[in-house]
Formats: sequence, C-alpha cells, structure tokens
Amino acid sequence: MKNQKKEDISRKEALKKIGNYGKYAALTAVGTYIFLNPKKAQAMSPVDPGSGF
Amino acid sequence: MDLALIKQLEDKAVVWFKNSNQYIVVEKLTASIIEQLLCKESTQKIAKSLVDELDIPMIEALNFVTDLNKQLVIPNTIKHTEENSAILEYEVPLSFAFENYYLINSKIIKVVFSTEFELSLVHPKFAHLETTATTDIDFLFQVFNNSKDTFLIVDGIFVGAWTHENIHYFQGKFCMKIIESIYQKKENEWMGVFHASAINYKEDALLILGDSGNGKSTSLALLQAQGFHCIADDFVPIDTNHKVVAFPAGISIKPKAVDVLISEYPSLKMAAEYYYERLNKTVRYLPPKNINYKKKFPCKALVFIKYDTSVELKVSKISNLEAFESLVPDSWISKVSENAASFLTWFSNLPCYQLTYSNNEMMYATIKSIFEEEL
Repeated sequence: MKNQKKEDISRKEALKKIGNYGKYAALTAVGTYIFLNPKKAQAMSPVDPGSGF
Repeated sequence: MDLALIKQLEDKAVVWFKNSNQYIVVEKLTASIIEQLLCKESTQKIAKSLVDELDIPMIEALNFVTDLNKQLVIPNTIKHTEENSAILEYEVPLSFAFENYYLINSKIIKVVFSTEFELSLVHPKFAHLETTATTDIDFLFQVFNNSKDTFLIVDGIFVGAWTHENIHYFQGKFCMKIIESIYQKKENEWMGVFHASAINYKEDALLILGDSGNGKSTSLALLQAQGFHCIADDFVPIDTNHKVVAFPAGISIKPKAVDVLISEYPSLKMAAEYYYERLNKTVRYLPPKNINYKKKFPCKALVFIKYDTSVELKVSKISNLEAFESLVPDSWISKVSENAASFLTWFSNLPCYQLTYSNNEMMYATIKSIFEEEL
C-alpha cells in the first residue's frame, strides 16, 4: 500500500495558506490559457494506403 | 495591431497570432494585457492597472505581465520561417503507369500517377467522377515518387512533396488543388477546410463533426437518403464569404455502416472495398448524389454527432468555447489575417449542438429542426 504523508498544520498556518491562495486566485485564473493550433495544411482523414488497392 | 487578432467568445477571449497561426483562449483581462503588450505599452503601466483590478502587490503584477510577455507574446510574434518552402529537387518521370480523367464541375482534370501506390491514395474517392480520355483538358495533375517522397505537380508547377508519414497532407493538398481548380479560387481565397460532413436543406448547410468513428459519414449517407443533399464528406471547404461549397469526393463507408445503409444504397453491396492495412480499416465509397456546384450555402450550425446504441436521441446546445476547442485542432484555417478574422466572426455567431443518437427517424427530425430553427 502506498504510504501517505500526513501533515498536521495549525489553524493559523492553514489560514495563511488559504489567504495566499485566495489573494492570488484571480491571478491564477488570468494566467490560465488554452493553446489551439489549426492544422498546418489541409489534410484528409489519416488513411494508410495499404496493399488492398 | 497587425500581429494578432482578439475576439471575445462568450465569457473568454480568443487571441490569434499571425506569425504562429495559433489561437489562444484566455480570460478577457489577459487579452487586454496582451493587447497592451502588443501596442508596446510599458510593463510598469500595465502592471499598475492589474494591481488596481485584482488587488495584488505590484511585484506579483509585474511578474505576471513579464511572464505573459515571455510565454505568449514574444514566442508568437517572432517571425517564423516558412516550413516546407524549400523546393526539393525532382525529375518528372517520362511516362506514367496510370492516366485518369475526372470530370468535376464541368472541368476535365487529367491526373497521371507513376505507381499503383499513388493511384490508391486518391483514385478511390474520385472513381465515380472518372470520364473518358481526351486531349481537351483543363488541368494536369502529376503524381509520382522518388522512393522517399510523393510529389504533386499541377500544370507544371511544383506544389509539394510528402513523406509516407505525412501522406494525409498530400491527400489534403491534392483535394485543395481540386477545389482551387474547379472553383478558380486560390488557397488564400478560402477561409478554411473543415474535417466534417456537410449537408444541405433548402438554402442552408449544416456541418456534422465528431471524432473518427462517431458516425459523421454514416449520418451524412442516412440524411442523403432522406432527401437532404450532400455537400461534402471529410473535406469541407468554406470560402471567405462564409459559404460552404460542394466537394464531390465519395462518402467513406465502413463495414459496420454497410449493413445500416444497404437498404437505402443497394449498390454498396457490390462496391469495391479498400483495405487500409496500418489502420486495419476497410472502406467502401458511396458517390454523393445531386452535387450542386453552382450553389453555395451559408452554414446554419455545427452539430457534433455521436452514434451510440445506448441512447435513442439526446440533443443539447453546447457552448461555442467547447466547440471551438474541438474544431480548431481538426481544421485547416487560412492564416491570412483577413481570413482568420473572418473565421472568428463566422464562428462566434454559429450555434453549436451535441447530438447523440441511435434512432435514425428521430435524428432526421432533429436535424430538420436545427435547419428550421425550431429546436
């Protein structure tokens, strides 16, 4: 079984962590993007011309 | 700002970069920062506005703007050298083993192939358009190989050379050259070519999209049998006026679909079967009916289709953002700025649907309702 690391932190520390996250959540959102590349050239559905012709 | 285009799409923005021909979906605020960076606004000034907007420390804002510039703006605005632009040395064979003539939109295209391999790459899809040999031709396509690459020459002009791994790009370019020839429009006069099936009803077109095996072509064939007209299968050209035009290649039908279609298309039983070894795929081609080259159709909607035996019929409108993510990587979109802008305008106004079905009658009715805007 996989060992799980358990980490106890104080309430104060937890708030500090959440606080930082909350503060920068908006920044994380604006820093998220999706890259989409169209095909470099026109293509047909990939078809391997085998020996069947 | 001729290096990029920015278009709002639902609650996000799409940024298109000319030099990389890349589309990036970002938050609207990010798009505005990119716009300012492209306009050479100072990083300090942009960061300051970000501080006000997000209530974050200046140092974080500065880092963010600098990173955005480094990650998105600079890599996408440097000038790339044109790939595959080098003209390979080649020698056109003195004779060709196969000489075929195709009649498409009143044009006679003579295509010569050096080997059976080249012939097998394109002929099956166009076999139904074959016509008798003549000296009165409109275009001459020469297809040959030099053991490594497959070459395409059109009317004496080198078009390109492709390795075996890229052979679907050869097939794509061959089809593009057919389109350019029969409609007398150069590549830069097309908005894009979409991996879809296109059908027509009355004065409009619909694009049927979906992953391979989802049933695009089968749905197209079924709809054609119901009186809808086929415009194109697998390769759907749309011009810069947002009109879908006919491309008459055969509709590819897989063995499973033959049983579904045989009652409507008895000729499929005897149709030649082509076996594609690497994909372990067997295909028959169904000639499209009533191809009308004179008419061009505005696209009414995009329909992402899926044939699923566990679902009688389920249809829902999907977000354009979701559709955009599926559409772009599967399409050739012209990288001419005006055409990319035209594409973004066209797409942002297009209704998109997801349609899953196993009940054909219900599918026909749904498609008709989409055409008639009754859904």
